[in-house]
Amino acid sequence: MTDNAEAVTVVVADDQSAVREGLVLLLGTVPGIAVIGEAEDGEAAVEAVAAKNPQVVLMDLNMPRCDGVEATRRIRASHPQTQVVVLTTR
Amino acid sequence: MFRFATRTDPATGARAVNVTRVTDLVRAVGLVVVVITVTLASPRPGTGDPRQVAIAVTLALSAVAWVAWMLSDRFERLTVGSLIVMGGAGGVLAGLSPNSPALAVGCAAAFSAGVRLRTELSLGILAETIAGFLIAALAIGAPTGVLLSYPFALAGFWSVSLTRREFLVRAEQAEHTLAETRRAREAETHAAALAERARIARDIHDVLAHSLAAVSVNLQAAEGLLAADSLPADNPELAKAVECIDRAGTLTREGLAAARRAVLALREDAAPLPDQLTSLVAQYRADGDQAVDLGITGEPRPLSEPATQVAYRTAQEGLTNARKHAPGQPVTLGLGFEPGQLTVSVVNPLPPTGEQGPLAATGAGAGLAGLRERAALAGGTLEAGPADGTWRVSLKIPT
Repeated sequence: MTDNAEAVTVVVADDQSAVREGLVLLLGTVPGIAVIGEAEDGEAAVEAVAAKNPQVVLMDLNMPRCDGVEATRRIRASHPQTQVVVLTTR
Repeated sequence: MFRFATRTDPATGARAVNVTRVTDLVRAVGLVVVVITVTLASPRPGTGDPRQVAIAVTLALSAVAWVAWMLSDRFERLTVGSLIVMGGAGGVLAGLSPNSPALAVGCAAAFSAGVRLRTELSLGILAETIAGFLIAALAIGAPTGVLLSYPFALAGFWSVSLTRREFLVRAEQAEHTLAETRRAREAETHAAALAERARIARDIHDVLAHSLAAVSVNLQAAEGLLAADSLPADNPELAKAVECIDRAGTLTREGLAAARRAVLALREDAAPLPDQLTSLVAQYRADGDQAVDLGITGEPRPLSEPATQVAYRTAQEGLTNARKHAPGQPVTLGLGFEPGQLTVSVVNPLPPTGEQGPLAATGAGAGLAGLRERAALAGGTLEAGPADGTWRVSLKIPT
Protein backbone atom coordinates (compact mmCIF):
# COMPACT_ATOMS: atom_id res chain seq x y z
CA MET A 1 0.00 0.00 0.00
CA THR A 2 1.09 3.53 -0.68
CA ASP A 3 1.75 5.89 2.15
CA ASN A 4 -1.39 7.99 2.75
CA ALA A 5 0.67 11.15 3.08
CA GLU A 6 1.76 10.89 -0.57
CA ALA A 7 -1.23 9.10 -2.12
CA VAL A 8 -4.34 10.60 -3.64
CA THR A 9 -7.00 10.25 -0.96
CA VAL A 10 -10.33 8.89 -2.06
CA VAL A 11 -13.80 8.40 -0.59
CA VAL A 12 -15.99 5.84 -2.36
CA ALA A 13 -19.76 6.50 -2.28
CA ASP A 14 -22.05 3.77 -3.63
CA ASP A 15 -25.19 2.27 -2.11
CA GLN A 16 -24.41 -1.21 -3.45
CA SER A 17 -22.03 -2.75 -0.93
CA ALA A 18 -20.69 -5.28 -3.44
CA VAL A 19 -19.68 -2.50 -5.81
CA ARG A 20 -18.43 -0.20 -3.06
CA GLU A 21 -16.31 -2.84 -1.36
CA GLY A 22 -15.04 -4.09 -4.70
CA LEU A 23 -13.98 -0.58 -5.67
CA VAL A 24 -12.26 -0.13 -2.31
CA LEU A 25 -10.36 -3.36 -2.80
CA LEU A 26 -9.53 -2.54 -6.42
CA LEU A 27 -8.33 0.99 -5.65
CA GLY A 28 -6.36 -0.40 -2.75
CA THR A 29 -4.25 -2.36 -5.22
CA VAL A 30 -3.43 0.73 -7.30
CA PRO A 31 -0.23 2.50 -6.28
CA GLY A 32 -0.70 6.14 -5.41
CA ILE A 33 -4.33 5.85 -4.30
CA ALA A 34 -5.51 5.59 -0.71
CA VAL A 35 -9.16 4.96 0.08
CA ILE A 36 -9.81 6.79 3.33
CA GLY A 37 -13.56 6.42 3.56
CA GLU A 38 -16.74 4.77 2.30
CA ALA A 39 -20.30 6.02 2.13
CA GLU A 40 -23.52 4.14 1.41
CA ASP A 41 -25.48 7.22 0.36
CA GLY A 42 -25.13 10.92 -0.43
CA GLU A 43 -25.60 12.06 3.15
CA ALA A 44 -22.84 9.75 4.34
CA ALA A 45 -20.63 10.98 1.50
CA VAL A 46 -21.04 14.61 2.55
CA GLU A 47 -20.26 13.65 6.15
CA ALA A 48 -17.21 11.62 5.10
CA VAL A 49 -15.85 14.53 3.08
CA ALA A 50 -16.40 16.89 6.01
CA ALA A 51 -14.62 14.51 8.35
CA LYS A 52 -11.75 13.33 6.17
CA ASN A 53 -11.30 16.04 3.53
CA PRO A 54 -10.39 13.68 0.64
CA GLN A 55 -8.90 14.86 -2.63
CA VAL A 56 -11.33 12.79 -4.69
CA VAL A 57 -14.81 11.36 -4.18
CA LEU A 58 -15.93 8.48 -6.36
CA MET A 59 -19.65 9.16 -6.46
CA ASP A 60 -22.52 6.95 -7.62
CA LEU A 61 -25.43 9.00 -8.96
CA ASN A 62 -28.34 6.78 -7.96
CA MET A 63 -28.40 6.48 -4.19
CA PRO A 64 -31.10 6.63 -1.50
CA ARG A 65 -31.68 9.52 0.94
CA CYS A 66 -29.48 12.01 -0.93
CA ASP A 67 -28.53 11.21 -4.52
CA GLY A 68 -25.16 11.79 -6.14
CA VAL A 69 -26.19 15.05 -7.82
CA GLU A 70 -27.27 16.69 -4.57
CA ALA A 71 -24.30 15.29 -2.65
CA THR A 72 -21.94 16.60 -5.34
CA ARG A 73 -23.58 20.03 -5.17
CA ARG A 74 -23.06 20.18 -1.43
CA ILE A 75 -19.52 18.84 -1.50
CA ARG A 76 -18.47 21.28 -4.24
CA ALA A 77 -19.97 24.11 -2.21
CA SER A 78 -18.28 23.21 1.07
CA HIS A 79 -15.04 21.67 -0.25
CA PRO A 80 -14.29 23.17 -3.66
CA GLN A 81 -10.84 21.62 -3.64
CA THR A 82 -12.36 18.11 -3.56
CA GLN A 83 -12.81 16.63 -7.02
CA VAL A 84 -15.86 14.46 -7.65
CA VAL A 85 -15.81 11.63 -10.18
CA VAL A 86 -19.31 10.44 -11.01
CA LEU A 87 -20.05 6.77 -11.57
CA THR A 88 -23.26 5.92 -13.36
CA THR A 89 -24.63 3.19 -15.58
CA ARG A 90 -27.18 5.46 -17.27
CA MET B 1 -75.52 -23.12 -59.72
CA PHE B 2 -75.67 -19.37 -59.12
CA ARG B 3 -74.15 -18.05 -55.91
CA PHE B 4 -73.96 -14.54 -54.56
CA ALA B 5 -70.44 -13.23 -54.17
CA THR B 6 -69.39 -13.23 -50.53
CA ARG B 7 -66.58 -11.66 -48.56
CA THR B 8 -64.93 -12.81 -45.34
CA ASP B 9 -64.53 -10.40 -42.46
CA PRO B 10 -60.79 -10.47 -41.60
CA ALA B 11 -61.43 -9.93 -37.89
CA THR B 12 -64.32 -12.27 -37.20
CA GLY B 13 -64.02 -14.71 -40.08
CA ALA B 14 -67.74 -14.28 -40.79
CA ARG B 15 -68.90 -14.57 -44.40
CA ALA B 16 -71.28 -11.96 -45.73
CA VAL B 17 -73.00 -11.44 -49.06
CA ASN B 18 -71.35 -8.73 -51.12
CA VAL B 19 -74.26 -6.25 -51.15
CA THR B 20 -72.74 -4.05 -53.84
CA ARG B 21 -72.55 -6.96 -56.26
CA VAL B 22 -76.19 -7.92 -55.53
CA THR B 23 -77.35 -4.33 -56.05
CA ASP B 24 -75.51 -4.15 -59.37
CA LEU B 25 -77.17 -7.38 -60.42
CA VAL B 26 -80.65 -6.06 -59.53
CA ARG B 27 -80.00 -2.85 -61.46
CA ALA B 28 -78.83 -4.76 -64.52
CA VAL B 29 -81.86 -7.07 -64.41
CA GLY B 30 -84.12 -4.02 -64.01
CA LEU B 31 -82.62 -2.41 -67.11
CA VAL B 32 -83.05 -5.57 -69.16
CA VAL B 33 -86.66 -5.97 -68.02
CA VAL B 34 -87.50 -2.35 -68.84
CA VAL B 35 -85.88 -2.51 -72.29
CA ILE B 36 -87.60 -5.81 -73.15
CA THR B 37 -91.05 -4.87 -71.86
CA VAL B 38 -91.02 -1.42 -73.45
CA THR B 39 -89.85 -2.99 -76.69
CA LEU B 40 -92.68 -5.52 -76.61
CA ALA B 41 -95.38 -3.07 -75.47
CA SER B 42 -97.69 -1.32 -77.91
CA PRO B 43 -96.85 0.98 -79.59
CA ARG B 44 -93.43 -0.54 -80.14
CA PRO B 45 -90.27 1.49 -80.71
CA GLY B 46 -89.20 1.58 -84.33
CA THR B 47 -88.92 3.75 -87.43
CA GLY B 48 -92.48 3.38 -88.75
CA ASP B 49 -93.92 6.63 -87.44
CA PRO B 50 -92.65 9.59 -85.40
CA ARG B 51 -94.08 8.19 -82.13
CA GLN B 52 -92.20 4.90 -82.61
CA VAL B 53 -89.03 6.85 -83.33
CA ALA B 54 -89.61 8.99 -80.22
CA ILE B 55 -90.14 5.85 -78.12
CA ALA B 56 -86.93 4.36 -79.51
CA VAL B 57 -85.00 7.55 -78.78
CA THR B 58 -86.33 7.99 -75.22
CA LEU B 59 -85.83 4.27 -74.49
CA ALA B 60 -82.23 4.50 -75.71
CA LEU B 61 -81.73 7.67 -73.67
CA SER B 62 -83.18 6.03 -70.59
CA ALA B 63 -81.02 2.93 -71.07
CA VAL B 64 -77.84 4.98 -71.50
CA ALA B 65 -78.68 7.05 -68.42
CA TRP B 66 -79.45 3.83 -66.52
CA VAL B 67 -76.04 2.38 -67.41
CA ALA B 68 -74.34 5.65 -66.45
CA TRP B 69 -76.21 5.54 -63.14
CA MET B 70 -74.95 2.00 -62.53
CA LEU B 71 -71.37 3.11 -63.11
CA SER B 72 -71.56 6.37 -61.17
CA ASP B 73 -71.16 5.15 -57.59
CA ARG B 74 -68.05 7.26 -56.93
CA PHE B 75 -68.97 10.28 -59.05
CA GLU B 76 -71.74 12.41 -57.62
CA ARG B 77 -72.05 14.67 -60.68
CA LEU B 78 -72.50 11.67 -62.97
CA THR B 79 -75.08 10.28 -60.55
CA VAL B 80 -77.01 13.55 -60.54
CA GLY B 81 -76.83 13.88 -64.32
CA SER B 82 -77.90 10.30 -65.02
CA LEU B 83 -80.80 10.50 -62.53
CA ILE B 84 -82.05 13.77 -64.07
CA VAL B 85 -82.01 12.18 -67.51
CA MET B 86 -83.69 9.02 -66.22
CA GLY B 87 -86.43 11.07 -64.53
CA GLY B 88 -87.13 13.19 -67.59
CA ALA B 89 -86.75 10.45 -70.21
CA GLY B 90 -88.75 8.02 -68.07
CA GLY B 91 -91.62 10.50 -67.91
CA VAL B 92 -91.61 11.07 -71.67
CA LEU B 93 -91.37 7.32 -72.27
CA ALA B 94 -94.35 6.72 -69.95
CA GLY B 95 -96.33 9.23 -72.00
CA LEU B 96 -95.29 7.79 -75.36
CA SER B 97 -95.70 4.16 -74.25
CA PRO B 98 -98.39 4.20 -71.55
CA ASN B 99 -98.82 0.43 -71.65
CA SER B 100 -95.17 -0.22 -70.77
CA PRO B 101 -93.60 -0.29 -67.32
CA ALA B 102 -91.70 2.95 -68.08
CA LEU B 103 -92.71 4.11 -64.60
CA ALA B 104 -89.94 1.80 -63.34
CA VAL B 105 -87.35 4.20 -64.79
CA GLY B 106 -88.78 7.09 -62.80
CA CYS B 107 -89.11 4.99 -59.65
CA ALA B 108 -85.47 3.90 -59.97
CA ALA B 109 -84.41 7.54 -60.36
CA ALA B 110 -86.45 8.71 -57.34
CA PHE B 111 -85.31 5.82 -55.15
CA SER B 112 -81.64 6.12 -56.07
CA ALA B 113 -81.68 9.91 -55.59
CA GLY B 114 -83.07 9.43 -52.07
CA VAL B 115 -80.44 6.82 -51.17
CA ARG B 116 -77.34 8.39 -52.69
CA LEU B 117 -77.84 12.15 -52.67
CA ARG B 118 -78.33 14.72 -49.96
CA THR B 119 -81.98 15.46 -49.23
CA GLU B 120 -82.35 18.82 -51.00
CA LEU B 121 -80.72 17.45 -54.14
CA SER B 122 -82.77 14.26 -54.15
CA LEU B 123 -85.93 16.30 -53.54
CA GLY B 124 -85.12 18.35 -56.65
CA ILE B 125 -84.71 15.24 -58.78
CA LEU B 126 -87.95 13.83 -57.36
CA ALA B 127 -89.78 17.03 -58.33
CA GLU B 128 -88.25 16.98 -61.82
CA THR B 129 -89.24 13.34 -62.28
CA ILE B 130 -92.83 13.90 -61.11
CA ALA B 131 -93.08 16.93 -63.38
CA GLY B 132 -91.82 14.90 -66.34
CA PHE B 133 -94.36 12.12 -65.76
CA LEU B 134 -97.25 14.55 -65.15
CA ILE B 135 -96.48 16.67 -68.23
CA ALA B 136 -96.27 13.59 -70.43
CA ALA B 137 -99.49 12.18 -68.93
CA LEU B 138 -101.32 15.48 -69.44
CA ALA B 139 -100.03 15.69 -72.99
CA ILE B 140 -101.58 12.37 -73.92
CA GLY B 141 -104.73 13.03 -71.88
CA ALA B 142 -104.15 10.28 -69.36
CA PRO B 143 -107.00 9.59 -66.94
CA THR B 144 -107.04 11.25 -63.52
CA GLY B 145 -106.17 7.98 -61.80
CA VAL B 146 -102.97 7.73 -63.76
CA LEU B 147 -102.18 11.38 -63.09
CA LEU B 148 -102.59 10.81 -59.36
CA SER B 149 -100.73 7.53 -59.32
CA TYR B 150 -97.47 9.01 -60.63
CA PRO B 151 -96.78 11.43 -57.73
CA PHE B 152 -97.86 8.83 -55.14
CA ALA B 153 -95.70 6.07 -56.63
CA LEU B 154 -92.61 8.26 -57.15
CA ALA B 155 -92.90 9.99 -53.75
CA GLY B 156 -93.49 6.61 -52.11
CA PHE B 157 -90.27 5.19 -53.58
CA TRP B 158 -88.43 8.34 -52.55
CA SER B 159 -89.74 8.04 -48.95
CA VAL B 160 -88.66 4.42 -48.70
CA SER B 161 -85.25 5.41 -50.05
CA LEU B 162 -84.76 7.80 -47.11
CA THR B 163 -85.13 4.87 -44.74
CA ARG B 164 -82.59 2.97 -46.76
CA ARG B 165 -80.25 5.97 -46.68
CA GLU B 166 -80.58 6.19 -42.89
CA PHE B 167 -79.79 2.48 -42.63
CA LEU B 168 -76.68 2.86 -44.79
CA VAL B 169 -75.46 5.85 -42.78
CA ARG B 170 -75.89 3.94 -39.55
CA ALA B 171 -74.18 0.88 -41.01
CA GLU B 172 -71.27 3.03 -42.11
CA GLN B 173 -71.05 4.60 -38.66
CA ALA B 174 -71.15 1.15 -37.06
CA GLU B 175 -68.35 -0.06 -39.33
CA HIS B 176 -66.33 3.05 -38.54
CA THR B 177 -66.84 2.53 -34.81
CA LEU B 178 -65.92 -1.13 -35.14
CA ALA B 179 -62.75 -0.26 -37.04
CA GLU B 180 -61.84 2.33 -34.41
CA THR B 181 -62.42 -0.20 -31.66
CA ARG B 182 -60.22 -2.72 -33.44
CA ARG B 183 -57.46 -0.15 -33.90
CA ALA B 184 -57.70 0.87 -30.24
CA ARG B 185 -57.53 -2.75 -29.14
CA GLU B 186 -54.52 -3.41 -31.35
CA ALA B 187 -52.80 -0.28 -30.03
CA GLU B 188 -53.56 -1.36 -26.49
CA THR B 189 -52.12 -4.81 -27.10
CA HIS B 190 -49.05 -3.32 -28.75
CA ALA B 191 -48.56 -0.88 -25.87
CA ALA B 192 -48.88 -3.72 -23.34
CA ALA B 193 -46.28 -5.74 -25.24
CA LEU B 194 -43.95 -2.74 -25.36
CA ALA B 195 -44.42 -2.13 -21.64
CA GLU B 196 -43.59 -5.74 -20.90
CA ARG B 197 -40.48 -5.62 -23.08
CA ALA B 198 -39.43 -2.39 -21.43
CA ARG B 199 -39.94 -3.94 -17.99
CA ILE B 200 -37.81 -6.97 -18.90
CA ALA B 201 -35.15 -4.69 -20.37
CA ARG B 202 -35.19 -2.58 -17.22
CA ASP B 203 -34.90 -5.65 -15.02
CA ILE B 204 -31.96 -6.97 -17.04
CA HIS B 205 -30.29 -3.56 -16.93
CA ASP B 206 -30.98 -2.81 -13.28
CA VAL B 207 -30.46 -6.25 -11.78
CA LEU B 208 -28.39 -8.48 -14.03
CA ALA B 209 -26.12 -5.86 -15.57
CA HIS B 210 -25.51 -4.14 -12.23
CA SER B 211 -24.72 -7.45 -10.56
CA LEU B 212 -22.34 -8.45 -13.33
CA ALA B 213 -20.65 -5.06 -13.12
CA ALA B 214 -20.21 -5.53 -9.37
CA VAL B 215 -18.79 -9.03 -9.93
CA SER B 216 -16.41 -7.63 -12.54
CA VAL B 217 -15.14 -4.95 -10.16
CA ASN B 218 -14.59 -7.51 -7.44
CA LEU B 219 -12.79 -9.90 -9.78
CA GLN B 220 -10.49 -7.10 -10.86
CA ALA B 221 -9.84 -6.31 -7.22
CA ALA B 222 -9.08 -9.96 -6.48
CA GLU B 223 -6.75 -10.10 -9.46
CA GLY B 224 -4.97 -7.00 -8.20
CA LEU B 225 -4.67 -8.42 -4.69
CA LEU B 226 -3.26 -11.70 -5.94
CA ALA B 227 -0.67 -9.82 -7.98
CA ALA B 228 0.65 -8.05 -4.89
CA ASP B 229 4.45 -8.14 -4.45
CA SER B 230 4.08 -9.69 -1.01
CA LEU B 231 2.72 -12.93 -2.50
CA PRO B 232 5.09 -15.52 -4.01
CA ALA B 233 5.09 -15.17 -7.77
CA ASP B 234 6.19 -18.77 -8.38
CA ASN B 235 3.44 -20.45 -6.38
CA PRO B 236 1.63 -22.79 -8.85
CA GLU B 237 -1.67 -22.74 -6.87
CA LEU B 238 -1.60 -18.97 -6.83
CA ALA B 239 -0.96 -18.91 -10.59
CA LYS B 240 -3.97 -21.20 -11.09
CA ALA B 241 -6.11 -18.96 -8.89
CA VAL B 242 -5.09 -15.94 -10.94
CA GLU B 243 -5.91 -17.85 -14.11
CA CYS B 244 -9.34 -18.79 -12.72
CA ILE B 245 -10.07 -15.21 -11.75
CA ASP B 246 -8.91 -13.99 -15.14
CA ARG B 247 -11.23 -16.47 -16.85
CA ALA B 248 -14.10 -15.50 -14.57
CA GLY B 249 -13.44 -11.86 -15.38
CA THR B 250 -13.56 -12.58 -19.11
CA LEU B 251 -16.81 -14.53 -18.72
CA THR B 252 -18.30 -11.73 -16.65
CA ARG B 253 -17.41 -9.10 -19.22
CA GLU B 254 -18.86 -11.28 -21.97
CA GLY B 255 -22.01 -11.76 -19.89
CA LEU B 256 -22.23 -8.03 -19.33
CA ALA B 257 -21.92 -7.38 -23.06
CA ALA B 258 -24.59 -10.03 -23.75
CA ALA B 259 -26.90 -8.44 -21.18
CA ARG B 260 -26.47 -5.06 -22.83
CA ARG B 261 -27.20 -6.57 -26.24
CA ALA B 262 -30.33 -8.19 -24.81
CA VAL B 263 -31.45 -4.85 -23.40
CA LEU B 264 -30.87 -3.21 -26.77
CA ALA B 265 -32.76 -5.97 -28.57
CA LEU B 266 -35.69 -5.68 -26.19
CA ARG B 267 -35.79 -1.95 -26.69
CA GLU B 268 -35.69 -2.23 -30.50
CA ASP B 269 -39.46 -2.00 -30.62
CA ALA B 270 -39.59 0.65 -27.95
CA ALA B 271 -41.67 3.79 -28.10
CA PRO B 272 -41.07 6.13 -31.07
CA LEU B 273 -38.25 8.64 -30.63
CA PRO B 274 -40.56 11.69 -30.18
CA ASP B 275 -42.32 9.87 -27.32
CA GLN B 276 -38.98 8.89 -25.77
CA LEU B 277 -37.73 12.47 -25.92
CA THR B 278 -41.00 13.77 -24.49
CA SER B 279 -40.52 11.42 -21.52
CA LEU B 280 -36.87 12.46 -21.22
CA VAL B 281 -37.82 16.13 -21.12
CA ALA B 282 -40.54 15.45 -18.55
CA GLN B 283 -38.01 13.60 -16.39
CA TYR B 284 -35.51 16.44 -16.83
CA ARG B 285 -38.09 18.99 -15.70
CA ALA B 286 -39.02 16.81 -12.73
CA ASP B 287 -35.38 16.47 -11.69
CA GLY B 288 -34.74 20.19 -11.39
CA ASP B 289 -35.93 23.70 -12.00
CA GLN B 290 -34.21 24.14 -15.36
CA ALA B 291 -36.54 25.14 -18.21
CA VAL B 292 -36.43 22.93 -21.28
CA ASP B 293 -38.42 23.10 -24.50
CA LEU B 294 -38.80 20.26 -26.99
CA GLY B 295 -39.46 21.17 -30.61
CA ILE B 296 -40.21 18.54 -33.26
CA THR B 297 -40.17 19.48 -36.93
CA GLY B 298 -41.01 17.40 -39.97
CA GLU B 299 -43.20 14.34 -40.21
CA PRO B 300 -42.09 11.70 -37.67
CA ARG B 301 -41.23 8.37 -39.26
CA PRO B 302 -39.94 5.00 -38.06
CA LEU B 303 -36.19 4.93 -37.39
CA SER B 304 -33.64 2.15 -37.08
CA GLU B 305 -32.62 1.16 -33.57
CA PRO B 306 -29.04 2.54 -33.93
CA ALA B 307 -30.40 5.87 -35.18
CA THR B 308 -32.93 6.02 -32.34
CA GLN B 309 -30.24 5.13 -29.80
CA VAL B 310 -27.72 7.73 -30.92
CA ALA B 311 -30.41 10.42 -31.16
CA TYR B 312 -31.72 9.63 -27.69
CA ARG B 313 -28.23 9.46 -26.17
CA THR B 314 -27.31 12.77 -27.79
CA ALA B 315 -30.36 14.45 -26.28
CA GLN B 316 -29.68 12.83 -22.92
CA GLU B 317 -25.99 13.81 -22.88
CA GLY B 318 -26.80 17.34 -24.10
CA LEU B 319 -29.30 17.86 -21.30
CA THR B 320 -26.91 16.41 -18.71
CA ASN B 321 -24.14 18.72 -19.91
CA ALA B 322 -26.49 21.71 -19.81
CA ARG B 323 -27.30 20.92 -16.19
CA LYS B 324 -23.64 20.46 -15.36
CA HIS B 325 -22.19 23.47 -17.12
CA ALA B 326 -25.04 25.95 -17.38
CA PRO B 327 -27.35 25.36 -14.41
CA GLY B 328 -30.48 27.47 -14.47
CA GLN B 329 -30.12 28.34 -18.14
CA PRO B 330 -33.03 27.43 -20.43
CA VAL B 331 -32.40 24.54 -22.79
CA THR B 332 -33.91 23.99 -26.22
CA LEU B 333 -34.05 20.43 -27.49
CA GLY B 334 -34.80 20.08 -31.19
CA LEU B 335 -35.67 16.97 -33.18
CA GLY B 336 -35.92 17.32 -36.95
CA PHE B 337 -37.21 14.72 -39.40
CA GLU B 338 -35.66 16.10 -42.56
CA PRO B 339 -35.61 14.46 -45.99
CA GLY B 340 -32.97 11.75 -45.80
CA GLN B 341 -31.65 12.68 -42.38
CA LEU B 342 -32.50 13.09 -38.72
CA THR B 343 -31.23 16.02 -36.70
CA VAL B 344 -31.00 16.50 -32.96
CA SER B 345 -29.89 19.76 -31.37
CA VAL B 346 -29.45 20.80 -27.76
CA VAL B 347 -28.89 24.53 -27.30
CA ASN B 348 -28.46 26.56 -24.14
CA PRO B 349 -27.06 30.03 -23.44
CA LEU B 350 -23.47 30.02 -22.22
CA PRO B 351 -23.32 30.62 -18.46
CA PRO B 352 -21.84 33.92 -17.22
CA THR B 353 -18.04 33.74 -17.05
CA GLY B 354 -16.85 32.08 -13.85
CA GLU B 355 -20.21 30.50 -13.03
CA GLN B 356 -20.37 26.78 -13.38
CA GLY B 357 -22.57 24.10 -11.93
CA PRO B 358 -21.60 21.80 -9.10
CA LEU B 359 -21.14 18.95 -11.55
CA ALA B 360 -18.99 20.96 -13.94
CA ALA B 361 -15.80 19.34 -12.75
CA THR B 362 -17.15 15.85 -13.26
CA GLY B 363 -16.38 14.15 -16.53
CA ALA B 364 -14.12 15.52 -19.20
CA GLY B 365 -16.03 15.36 -22.45
CA ALA B 366 -15.90 11.59 -22.49
CA GLY B 367 -19.65 11.47 -23.11
CA LEU B 368 -19.40 13.66 -26.20
CA ALA B 369 -16.47 11.61 -27.49
CA GLY B 370 -18.58 8.46 -27.11
CA LEU B 371 -21.46 10.13 -28.90
CA ARG B 372 -19.21 11.15 -31.79
CA GLU B 373 -18.20 7.51 -32.13
CA ARG B 374 -21.85 6.40 -32.05
CA ALA B 375 -22.79 9.04 -34.61
CA ALA B 376 -19.93 7.96 -36.89
CA LEU B 377 -21.03 4.32 -36.60
CA ALA B 378 -24.50 5.42 -37.70
CA GLY B 379 -22.94 7.26 -40.66
CA GLY B 380 -23.55 10.70 -39.18
CA THR B 381 -21.74 13.54 -37.46
CA LEU B 382 -21.91 15.18 -34.07
CA GLU B 383 -20.66 18.68 -33.41
CA ALA B 384 -20.50 20.49 -30.09
CA GLY B 385 -19.24 23.95 -29.29
CA PRO B 386 -20.08 27.60 -28.69
CA ALA B 387 -22.10 29.49 -31.28
CA ASP B 388 -23.55 33.00 -30.96
CA GLY B 389 -23.46 33.09 -27.19
CA THR B 390 -24.89 29.60 -26.85
CA TRP B 391 -23.52 26.12 -26.43
CA ARG B 392 -24.80 23.92 -29.20
CA VAL B 393 -24.73 20.14 -29.60
CA SER B 394 -25.81 19.13 -33.08
CA LEU B 395 -26.31 15.62 -34.44
CA LYS B 396 -27.01 14.70 -38.05
CA ILE B 397 -27.52 11.13 -39.14
CA PRO B 398 -28.77 9.76 -42.45
CA THR B 399 -32.05 7.85 -42.34
